[in-house]
Amino acid sequence: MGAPEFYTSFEGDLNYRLGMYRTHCEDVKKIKSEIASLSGKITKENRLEGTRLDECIKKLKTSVSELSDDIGELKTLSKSDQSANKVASLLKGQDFFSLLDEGRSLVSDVNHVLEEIDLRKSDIAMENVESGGGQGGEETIREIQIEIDMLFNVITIEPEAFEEVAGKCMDLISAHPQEANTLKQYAHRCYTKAAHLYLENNRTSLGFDMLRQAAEVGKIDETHPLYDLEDALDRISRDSHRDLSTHGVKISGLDSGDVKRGSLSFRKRSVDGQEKIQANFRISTHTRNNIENTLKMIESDLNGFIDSLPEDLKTNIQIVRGVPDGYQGEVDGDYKQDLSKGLTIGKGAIEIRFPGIGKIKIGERNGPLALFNRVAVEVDANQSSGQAINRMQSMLSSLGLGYDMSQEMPGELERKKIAFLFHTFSPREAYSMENSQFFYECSPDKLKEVIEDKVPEMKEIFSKYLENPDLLKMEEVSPGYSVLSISDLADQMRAAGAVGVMLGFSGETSNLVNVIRGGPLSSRERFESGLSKTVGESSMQDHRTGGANYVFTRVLTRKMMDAKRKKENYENPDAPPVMESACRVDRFPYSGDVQLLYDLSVVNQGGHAYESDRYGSKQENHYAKRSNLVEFSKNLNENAVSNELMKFEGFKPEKLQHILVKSEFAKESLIEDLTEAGFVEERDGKQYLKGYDAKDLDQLIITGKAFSADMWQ
Amino acid sequence: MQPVSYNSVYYVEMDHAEYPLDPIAVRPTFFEYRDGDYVEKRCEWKDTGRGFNLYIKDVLLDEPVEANGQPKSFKLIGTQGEVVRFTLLTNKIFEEKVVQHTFAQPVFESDEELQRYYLTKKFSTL
Repeated sequence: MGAPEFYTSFEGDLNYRLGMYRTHCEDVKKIKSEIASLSGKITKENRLEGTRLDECIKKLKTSVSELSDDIGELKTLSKSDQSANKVASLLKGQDFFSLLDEGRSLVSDVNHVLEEIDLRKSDIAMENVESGGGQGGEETIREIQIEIDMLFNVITIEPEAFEEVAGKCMDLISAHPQEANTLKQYAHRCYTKAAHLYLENNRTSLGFDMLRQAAEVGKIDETHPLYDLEDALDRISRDSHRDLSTHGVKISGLDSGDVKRGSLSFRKRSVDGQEKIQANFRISTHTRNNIENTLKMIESDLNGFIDSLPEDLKTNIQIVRGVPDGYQGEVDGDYKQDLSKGLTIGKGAIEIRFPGIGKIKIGERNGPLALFNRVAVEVDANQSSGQAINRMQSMLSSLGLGYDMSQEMPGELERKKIAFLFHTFSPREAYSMENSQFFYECSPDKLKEVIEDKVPEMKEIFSKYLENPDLLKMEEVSPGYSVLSISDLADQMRAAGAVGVMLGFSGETSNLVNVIRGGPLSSRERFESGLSKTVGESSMQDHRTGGANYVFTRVLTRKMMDAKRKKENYENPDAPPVMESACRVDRFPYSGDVQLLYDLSVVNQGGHAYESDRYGSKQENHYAKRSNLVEFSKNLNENAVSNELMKFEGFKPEKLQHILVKSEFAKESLIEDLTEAGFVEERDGKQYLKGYDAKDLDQLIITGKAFSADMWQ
Repeated sequence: MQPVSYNSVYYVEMDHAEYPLDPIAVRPTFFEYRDGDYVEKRCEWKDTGRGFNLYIKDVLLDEPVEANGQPKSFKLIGTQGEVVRFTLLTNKIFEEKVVQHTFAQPVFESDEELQRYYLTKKFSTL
């Protein structure tokens, strides 16, 4: 960092810099001494000192970085002979380079100290593995949490360590009944991890035992908001005006960290004549990979696995591979299990059937990118209180999947925030880490530290957003379902030249009304509904690329709107040129029959984008190289009409600025269609779309053949 | 220049595609945009979903266009060297290559019924 601008003279600048240098030297010495004192105290029995130590290390790293900057600046200031003489005269004979040596030696010492501490922490984790950890009943919940964090942070590979801590969590419940749910979540996480590690090492019976423990500890009690699952789903469905059998309801705030976006969709529908409750969600890539090995081990000793299960799960389990994957179709209100009335996308899913209890279907590991990590759980409807959700969770736990039906664990929101910021602002660097196990397992503090080490620019971003709750918060999309939103992301994109987003629509008028009222749907969501109006529809490409999970939009920029072109004049080519807007609607691929113009703030909930059509690709060759949304906006040139920005949701009715059609005639026809279909009502001499009050139809529908910035106002 | 459309339904394949195209191409439409020397030619079609767009260098007709102005088959050469083949969709091709990739696997009695279904059905893009 340079000296403040008011130091206009060389001497002023040098004095300022020397002052900062000396202050930072003192800071480093002070923190180093505090660390030396704490470092001696951290043992496996005294983990709280460990967290204080972590805080000191953070401060030390900041001070050392500032000190290094000071040294660099001072060296620059004394570069020329003339300035070196001035420095010598200001220092009154003190040798400038000896002065800097103190700082240099401090920087070097600190690096050694940090390395030693890392080694010490690893040793402690190992000591814990060997000795079984702290003092049992005397440990507090905070200490257990630190212990778990340390185990996961150092990538412990000894399953015994996790099993031990899980046992301690269970032991603590009697002394801390009010914290029972949290302790069970910790225990579930550790048993599941231990199971994976045992099974990886072919220690099958121990692995199965851990899966049993996870299934037992994963029981959900009446304090859970979805304990009476059907009643809760009916209520949320009513509140969110979503049909429970078709579009279903989305619920957030569940899961133990490996469910994508932390959201699950639930439906209640008749399947082959029987009422079922279905939950589906997508899991992280590392969880999808883990389940593959777990299933192989279960298949190798299926009877042993069944024998090891808790009594309520003991049934003639079947694991069937090569099952068609896709979407159920509906005939007269009844959905067909075999997909014959729906859509088959792949044929390599795995179905784990628990006769009399339910079943789980997992997408093909190397199958279409939109389905490979999709998990669908199904149980009978009309069960007694707590039974449906507990059956779902027990089946998931017994297979080593996460505690997906539980309420979010303490600290999980913080992790989501850190991950969301990294994913949004530094997508290229985030890509490899997001697919690693460590990313989901380490503590939020460690995750932040690792990211900052890898991408120093993220420090400023974390500091800005994590310290200002108004800038990064959960935003409700529908009752029971909220997602993270960055309040000023659209503003940053505007500063980089973006104006708004556009979605081209073609289809039935009734669908247009649904889009206006409830927002557009991705093709996967349309197929999940299973409605027969999609008969004959095909969707191979978007499922292969992964784009089927998203709604596609195009970003319009000022550069595009300012561009002019010579108007074509075929009748009189020699006539003086007339200029017109180059931002013509028909130049934009998929602009459809009408264009929905949404405020740019719909992007605040994130998304991914390409400067030209990639069909929403999640394939590594595209996805791992994408720019963040601000860089993307800056990079769009005037001809980037096939850019694409993919989003999940967030298209609230009030964010729709206008609907654009090409002529007054087209506008009148659209209003006529809407009126004939019964969607229009008159109030105060104005026509409104029923269920949409933000604008009357005359204001909402505008005409034009080219886009202009005023259309987004 | 006004867009030009072939008012038919085609079976569509791309050579060496990174991923398979959706097999149904409804009403391929050609657009041209000019600004002085800058020329942008593209072909866009509805594919029962969002649609497909290809910036093109050339259109190659395999045989003379029939009296109704709709070619039975043609090829597009994309600006990146892509080769996309269009064949008028018949019931035979539909049953052999397409139906298994469609929702609810509809059955048609004739080529005309199939063509009419896909030309008139308003698939939603959102």
